[in-house]
Amino acid sequence: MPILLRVVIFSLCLTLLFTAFTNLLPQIEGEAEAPLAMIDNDEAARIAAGEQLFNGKGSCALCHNAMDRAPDLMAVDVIQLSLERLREPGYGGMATSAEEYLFESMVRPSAFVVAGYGVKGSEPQLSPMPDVSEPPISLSLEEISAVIAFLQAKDGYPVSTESLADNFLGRTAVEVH
Amino acid sequence: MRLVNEGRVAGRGWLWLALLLMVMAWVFPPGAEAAGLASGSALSEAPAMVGPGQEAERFVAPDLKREDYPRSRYSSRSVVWVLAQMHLFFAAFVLAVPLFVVFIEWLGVKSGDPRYDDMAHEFMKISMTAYSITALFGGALMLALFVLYPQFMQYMVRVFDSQFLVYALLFFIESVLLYLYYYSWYALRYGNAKWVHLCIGVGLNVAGTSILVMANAWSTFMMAPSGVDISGALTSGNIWEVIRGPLWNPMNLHRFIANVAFGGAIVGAYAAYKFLAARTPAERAHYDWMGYTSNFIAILAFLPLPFAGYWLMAEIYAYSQQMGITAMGGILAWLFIVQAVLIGTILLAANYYLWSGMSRTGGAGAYGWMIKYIAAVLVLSFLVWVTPHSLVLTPAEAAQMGSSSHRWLGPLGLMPAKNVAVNLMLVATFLSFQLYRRSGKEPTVAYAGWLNAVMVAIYFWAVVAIIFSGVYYGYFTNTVYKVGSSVVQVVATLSVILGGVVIDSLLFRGARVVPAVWGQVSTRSQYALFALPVAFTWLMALMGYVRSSMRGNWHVYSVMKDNSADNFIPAIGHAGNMMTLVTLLFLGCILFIFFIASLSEKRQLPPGATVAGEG
Repeated sequence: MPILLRVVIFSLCLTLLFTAFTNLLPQIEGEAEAPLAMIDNDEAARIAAGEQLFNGKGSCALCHNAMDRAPDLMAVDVIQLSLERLREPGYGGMATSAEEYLFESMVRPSAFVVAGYGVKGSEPQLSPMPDVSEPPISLSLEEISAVIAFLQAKDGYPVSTESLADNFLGRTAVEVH
Repeated sequence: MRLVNEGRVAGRGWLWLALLLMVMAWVFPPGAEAAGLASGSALSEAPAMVGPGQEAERFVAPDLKREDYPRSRYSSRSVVWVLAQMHLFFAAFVLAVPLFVVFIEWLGVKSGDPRYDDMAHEFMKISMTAYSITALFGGALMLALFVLYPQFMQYMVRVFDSQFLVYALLFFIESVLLYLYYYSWYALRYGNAKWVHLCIGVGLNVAGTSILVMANAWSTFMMAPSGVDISGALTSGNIWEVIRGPLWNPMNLHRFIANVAFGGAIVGAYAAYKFLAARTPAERAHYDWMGYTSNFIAILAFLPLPFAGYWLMAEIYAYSQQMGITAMGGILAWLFIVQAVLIGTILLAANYYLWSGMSRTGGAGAYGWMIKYIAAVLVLSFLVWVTPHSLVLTPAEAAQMGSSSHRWLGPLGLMPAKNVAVNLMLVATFLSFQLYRRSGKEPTVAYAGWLNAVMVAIYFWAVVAIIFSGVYYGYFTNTVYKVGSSVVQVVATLSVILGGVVIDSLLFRGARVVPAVWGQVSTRSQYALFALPVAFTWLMALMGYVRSSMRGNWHVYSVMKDNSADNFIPAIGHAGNMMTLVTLLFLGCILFIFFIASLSEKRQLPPGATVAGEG
């Protein structure tokens, strides 16, 4: 067999081996950002939108999963945990309720950093979590509220109907971009 | 004798790199105003450019809708993907070859051995055809980008402004120097003329490396934009702020080293091809030596590559946790398992080639028994590297196991275990390389026993440190701190490499050289040299895809959204098929280049003439 042909066959087989390997692995396709249905006052629609945002545009599930990079929000009672955080002596934020704590964590993540979850070596402790109201995530106020509604509903808590903008934002200097 | 010279290649290669970086630092001084670039910019907000009553021109990144993109019969992303990858393959090759060619040429001057000069010239001959193809793919890529993504390109051109013109100027300078360097080879071969020729080569590499770092600025701007605000508007008219993003230097280093490794692998394949086709012992000896040198270059450059990659990834995490996790813990994480397969292939092939090469000398017998243990370490490390953290399980299997990751084997899928695997593979490869060198020499110094004992102690300490830190950080710390194992492991591996170089240089002072019979190597070993460029090419396609996909659905991360029909990360299988397509296209072109290079050596006899010796 001519050398050129042998070389071609060898290279082709090796290349196809790599290709076959990639085709044997789990075939997960990254979803394009799906257009979100209008978030209105319908509670079920808000919760559904919140879940979609949690797993999609909000990128929450990227870190808040079982990998221990951040608290696994699907595995814990988020509202109960938020109330516990508020009672911690080191808490220095401005939230006064569980939903405000969640809101503050999303738009001012370094307001209170839980021990073990800060950026290594940062002093004062910085959170590695981005402000979700800024790019690249860029959740709107309505979208953040929908995520909170989803987190409340998943553990059977009543969904907040009060506007975070009127309460928390009106009372503090926090801005949402 | 030759092995001593090859040792010099290893030692002084770093000086060469340092010199190039110094030149680059001089060309692009930190904080320089780059006034020539920025002052002509229509984007500048300098008050002096604004007349009374006028507002400074301020542009922002366009917010595109799906219908704003030109309609294309084919996937715009796929077209750009293929063209960009082909251009990058060839660019990497043609930028890398002159780097080590100038060094080999200089080595020929220093050693007085004309074979170095001949080999350097032959390497250049291969890259000459590739240079034209690089330019063709570059032009096609630019055309495709302007046709398929006009608004994006318009934005990039406005941001980078006349930097594009400087790039074009450098390309022109590089072309002139390249042709001058190649075609003056025999005209400037001896005496002071040779130094003039070497200076042309250095100039060629400065131009080539400058082109590399300039183009890197575009890629890194798309991943981690700097010098612009969140709307995409320039924060100042200083182009330097746009260029020196947080990922620019890590990318420069990573691509520089990777290009050298890639270039070495490609010319190694050429040597192997010529070796297999050789008809005389002299030809076999020449191409065996050429193949060995190419493999040496490829592996020498490959050894520090994981550390450069680690720096790049650390900077990506520092810039955006979200982007880093998307790559290594999210949808792209499986691709790092594919990466493990490719790097495993490269290291196994390189080691096999070294082991086969021991047959060239009679001194290999003393070390032959170690090969099976090195092979075992490589295979075990490879198996750890390809172990995923989470498995694809049925609900029943998941319930039986308790979660999607196994209690004991699950941590093998995390960074500390992967680091153990890659560092042990690097240490094992260095050991193979060290044994190969030792098989060609017999030490004569009185303290040889002590030096060997120190070397064994260094290996022992390094292996213990690598494994201990991997186990400690893998099993006993939480996710945030698992990356902590890297520092210890990198230091341990570098200790082996540096310690080995120093100890061997002391050990082989005045050593007896066991003559190497070049050409006395198995045919199978040459296929290892073919495996290297195939795996390297596929690996480059893979990691380029990972780097680009990290942005998700952004043209310019967090600044300019990608709302085209292709603004999603495709499934691994589809990506794999694309990588195979570009790899085969590239290898096809490379075989064509080998053919062209061989064709230039053939001469048709005049009509009626006979071959010498006939008739």
